[in-house]
Amino acid sequence: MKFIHTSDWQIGRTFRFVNDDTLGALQVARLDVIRQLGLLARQEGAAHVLVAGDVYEHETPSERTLHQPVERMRQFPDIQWHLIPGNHDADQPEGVWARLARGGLPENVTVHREPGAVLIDAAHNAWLLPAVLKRRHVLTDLTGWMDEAETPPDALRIGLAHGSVTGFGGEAEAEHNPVAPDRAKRAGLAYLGLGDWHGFCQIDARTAYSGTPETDRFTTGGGGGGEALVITLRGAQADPVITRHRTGRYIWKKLDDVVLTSRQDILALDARIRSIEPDNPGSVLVWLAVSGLLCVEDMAVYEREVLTQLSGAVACLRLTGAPHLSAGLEDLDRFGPGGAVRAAAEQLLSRAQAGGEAGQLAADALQRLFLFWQEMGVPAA
Amino acid sequence: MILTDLQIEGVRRFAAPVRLDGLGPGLNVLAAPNEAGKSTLLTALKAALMVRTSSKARPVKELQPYGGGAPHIALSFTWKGMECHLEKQFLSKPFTRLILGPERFEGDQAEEALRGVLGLEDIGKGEAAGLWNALLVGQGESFAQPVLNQTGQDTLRGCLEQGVEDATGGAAASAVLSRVRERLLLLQTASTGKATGKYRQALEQEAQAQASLSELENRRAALEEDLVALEQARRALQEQENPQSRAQDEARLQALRQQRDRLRVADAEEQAARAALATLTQTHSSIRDEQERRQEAHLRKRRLESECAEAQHDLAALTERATLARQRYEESRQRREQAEQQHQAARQAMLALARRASVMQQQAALERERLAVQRAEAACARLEQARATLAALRVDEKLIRQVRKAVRDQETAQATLNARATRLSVALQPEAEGRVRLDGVPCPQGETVLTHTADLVVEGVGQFRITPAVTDQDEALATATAARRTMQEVLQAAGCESAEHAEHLFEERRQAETRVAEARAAFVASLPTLRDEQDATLFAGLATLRQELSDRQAALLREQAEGLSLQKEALEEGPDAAGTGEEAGEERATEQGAVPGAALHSMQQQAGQAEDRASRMAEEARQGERREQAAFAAALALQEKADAVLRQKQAAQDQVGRELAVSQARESDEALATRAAETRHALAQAEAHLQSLKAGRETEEPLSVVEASIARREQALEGARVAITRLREDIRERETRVHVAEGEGLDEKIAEAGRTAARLRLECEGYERERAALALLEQTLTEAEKTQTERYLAPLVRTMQPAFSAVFPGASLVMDTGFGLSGLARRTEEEFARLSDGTREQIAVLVRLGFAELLHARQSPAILVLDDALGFSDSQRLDRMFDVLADAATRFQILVLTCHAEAFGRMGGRALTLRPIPQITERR
Repeated sequence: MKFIHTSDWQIGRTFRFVNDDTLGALQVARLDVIRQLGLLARQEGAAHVLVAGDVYEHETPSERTLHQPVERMRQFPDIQWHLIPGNHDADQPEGVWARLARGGLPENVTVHREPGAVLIDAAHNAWLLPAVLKRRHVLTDLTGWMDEAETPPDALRIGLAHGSVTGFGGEAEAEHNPVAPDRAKRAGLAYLGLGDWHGFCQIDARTAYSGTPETDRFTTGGGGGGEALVITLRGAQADPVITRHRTGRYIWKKLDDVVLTSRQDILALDARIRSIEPDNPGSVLVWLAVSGLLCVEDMAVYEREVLTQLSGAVACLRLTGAPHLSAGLEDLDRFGPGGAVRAAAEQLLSRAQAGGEAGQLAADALQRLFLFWQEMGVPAA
Repeated sequence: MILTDLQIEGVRRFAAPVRLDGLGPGLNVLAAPNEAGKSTLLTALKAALMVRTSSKARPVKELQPYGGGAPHIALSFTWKGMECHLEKQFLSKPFTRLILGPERFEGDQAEEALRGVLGLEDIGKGEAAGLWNALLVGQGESFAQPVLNQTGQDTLRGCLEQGVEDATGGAAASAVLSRVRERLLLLQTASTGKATGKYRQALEQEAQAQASLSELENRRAALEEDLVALEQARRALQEQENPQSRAQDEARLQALRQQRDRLRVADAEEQAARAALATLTQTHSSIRDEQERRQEAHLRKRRLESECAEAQHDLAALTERATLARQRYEESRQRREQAEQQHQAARQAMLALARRASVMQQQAALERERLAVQRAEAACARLEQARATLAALRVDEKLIRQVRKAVRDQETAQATLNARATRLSVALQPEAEGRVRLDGVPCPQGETVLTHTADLVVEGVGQFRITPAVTDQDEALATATAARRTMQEVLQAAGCESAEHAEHLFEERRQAETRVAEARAAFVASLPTLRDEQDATLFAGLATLRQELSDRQAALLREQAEGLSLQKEALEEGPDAAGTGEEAGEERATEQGAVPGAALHSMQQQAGQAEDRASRMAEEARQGERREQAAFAAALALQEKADAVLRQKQAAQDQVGRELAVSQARESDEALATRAAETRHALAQAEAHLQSLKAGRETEEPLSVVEASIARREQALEGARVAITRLREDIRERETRVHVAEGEGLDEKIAEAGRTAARLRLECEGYERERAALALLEQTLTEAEKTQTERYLAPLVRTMQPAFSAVFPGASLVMDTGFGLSGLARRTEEEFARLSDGTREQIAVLVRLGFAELLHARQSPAILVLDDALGFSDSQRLDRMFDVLADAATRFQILVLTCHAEAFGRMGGRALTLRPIPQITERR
């Protein structure tokens, strides 16, 4: 038996650091990936898509947002979509699932809102054991019931849950919605599909996080997201075959500690970013943490190459920090050997060299002085 | 540059040519009164140096005199050892001519050459400007510091930059600074440094975004609250609608209701038993009361009987006492009546005597009045007699005046006649007497007056006729005759024989008048009430007196008659009165004759004493009567009271008797006793029945508790019904709200709003960084420029400092970049604008002097012209300024135009004069 494991669609998510155009594009991509999943299922001959929670980003999406994924799933009547609530869209009274249930769902979409084994594929005797989050955070392991869940003999027991594997990540969020790392083994599951982590992560032979199908952050752990898993079960006892497939459109890249000291550094950085997706740099989102010292001319190169050209090439260029102006006394010669402007520049330079916040401000001021001088067309000395 | 000659024509007040005489190197002073044309002179100089002759602008037109004409100016000067000459004519046939030593220029060429020499630049409309504007100081301009245009500044800068090696780029700094400020002004206001433009817009948008974010979050919180409340309400509703607990409640209520009904029946039985017992108790007590009442009535009846007997006895004793009192009262009454009669008689007697005394007094008064009337009548008679005498005398005041006048007239006429008469003096020998006869009679000795023709006959001699030589003799004679006749007529009218007789009669009349006045005064005095009234009034007063006298006499007679009758009555009424008998006798005696006043008085005293005695006795008798009367009344009252008491007791006794009889008749005492015994028995039975009922209910729950319990449960059921309704409504309401909120997609909105707010924050931070950098740049540039300027200005300050130190000892200058003096540092730094008018003017003049010094030092042409400057300076400062100007004038030429000839007399220098000339000397 073959099925698709995915999670964390987070429909309705917004991104603060991008401009409005990019934001729209990113949101569209998140919806379009559902179609990619449907196509992948057809391509792989999988009849089921299991979504391990966090279909929606918010507890109260607008009506449009609420129906957007449902309508996309409706487009694949040959595929059965099985959804469970996640921490972002827990099954609360009057929550998203109640709202959807009130309006009625397509035949091929099933929301599992109560724990309990459900036969999903009679031909393969496959039973789905969903863990259901009724609140955003719970402190008990909602997969606990699977140990005792009864299914016919030789049934394919497929667990589906949304939470953190305890003792695995060791992070604070592991305290909420815990999942025992050996749940698959203890409950005799052929496969336990998990959601909540946005990057692919395999816990053991039968347990894995699929990650989000369309990356949504620069710091996604694991495989970095943008994938879905094709799971092939060959029997109740056999280990599943887990295959990763790329589904995402955008590539999110964060470059820490970019130090620029020369023109070469700038050009190298430019080349590096453009090489991420040489054919389609428009699908790349980059976050650069920049520092360094540049002379007056190199600063102009930085502004031209990076701030203007590269920024236009990629989908999003997010910058933290900036290279500092490294001006020396010789740079000041362009203001002439004497006079008030040169005196002011010298003063700013000495302050900038003192460093600190005031130094940065002085450097900014000096940079502008150079700029004005240039704009006014005063010939260099 | 030394100005050596200045001639003008056709400039304002100088329509005719005029020359400024006396010009030479050093200090030149033109001291002339107001309106002498000093300012016109300066204007002409300015026009010659700075305005093209081709210009037809307003300033040029204003040069024209009132009658019109072409302004024509010629000036000569030496420069760099060369003789130079400049001549210009404006408006009509304009021309320019400039001779610079060997060089000669005409027209535009001349203008350009002039500008080159003076360092001037065109500023449009044919005018030029430069540092020279600061050196030709018009009237009133000396108060302000010179405002230099760019050319002027450049000239100065050019002068200064020669001395400062690295002082370039001042203009560049200004340009950068203005650009920085321009950019900064896009972000913050110039005055307050508050955010403006896009920065402010971003700040406002951010605040707005934050507000909308928090509003959305509030709504989110409200939604969450709604969700929690909704869940709670649903749970509560479920609990309220639980059918099992509802059935239990109903059953319990039913049981309680049954118990309540049972208890109500028992309660009614007990109430009935209690009522029966109460009725019996009442009957029993009423029987006992009746028995007690009868016993008491018997006792009372016996007590009343004994009291009646006692009262009877008391009444008899009191009746006797009353009779005795009545007798005593009667007696006292008689005694009182007698005493009163006697008192009455004594009073009558006394009154009669009093009346007699009164009559006697009246008689005496009447007698006095009669005498007065008699006196008045006698006075009246005398008056009438005197008046008759007066009437008989006819010579009164008027007549005597007529007589006296006639005498005077006659005498006057005679005198006139005599005065005109001829006098005949005769002195006869004694022997001749009788022998000389005048008009037939012996001629008298001495002088004789002859008024008529007289015949003097001397015996033995013959006759002499003497005719008086009087012109109007006849007229005088007629006058005398008329006077005599008049005299006789008057005397006749007065009834007199002569004038003497008339005088005598007049004297008599005056005496008679005096007598009449005396008699009238006596008559008036005799009338007691009138004083100097009209005669008629006086006579009427006399008549009145007479009438009053007769009236009083009649009244007295009546009185006497009444007195007599009274006395008679008194005698008749009181024959028993002891003390009045002899008095009555005396009365009678007085009737026949007059009783002496003393006797009458003693009789009155005796009668008064007798009356007093009788009065006291009568009063005593009355008091006795009153006493007896009171005693009698008291006795009578006591008797009546005892009588009433007796009657009351008897009535009460009868009443008790009747009541007893009635009750006996209704129910005999025996029957009553039997009924009492029966009632006691029935009472005991009812008591026992009630106790048994009470004992039966002691184990039961009290009815009130059961009823309260029922009410509570019913209320609880009702409450539950209401709560269910309310919960359902609440749930519906919250569901609606939740559904609405869900549809809106609050979370998405919050995320979007948060994103907007964050973006705006970043934007604001960017602006803030930009602003801070620009502000720092501006500050740094400003400071650098200032430092630079200070260095740059140092030569100018150095040039000016000596002059300043001379005028303001110990002061140093502070100059700004515009070559203005921004302040003066004496002990502390002082702003230029805050200095006094005089000081500011002195400074402004010194600054101009400094400019001229600077030009001179650079060997550029320079002169300083001051028109009417330093008018506000005190004499000490003025002296110092003079010193400074005199010192500067050793280096370059200074022209001072002033109207203060005396004050500027101390200045020294060349004295200039304005002199008319036939025509401007042309240098060809």
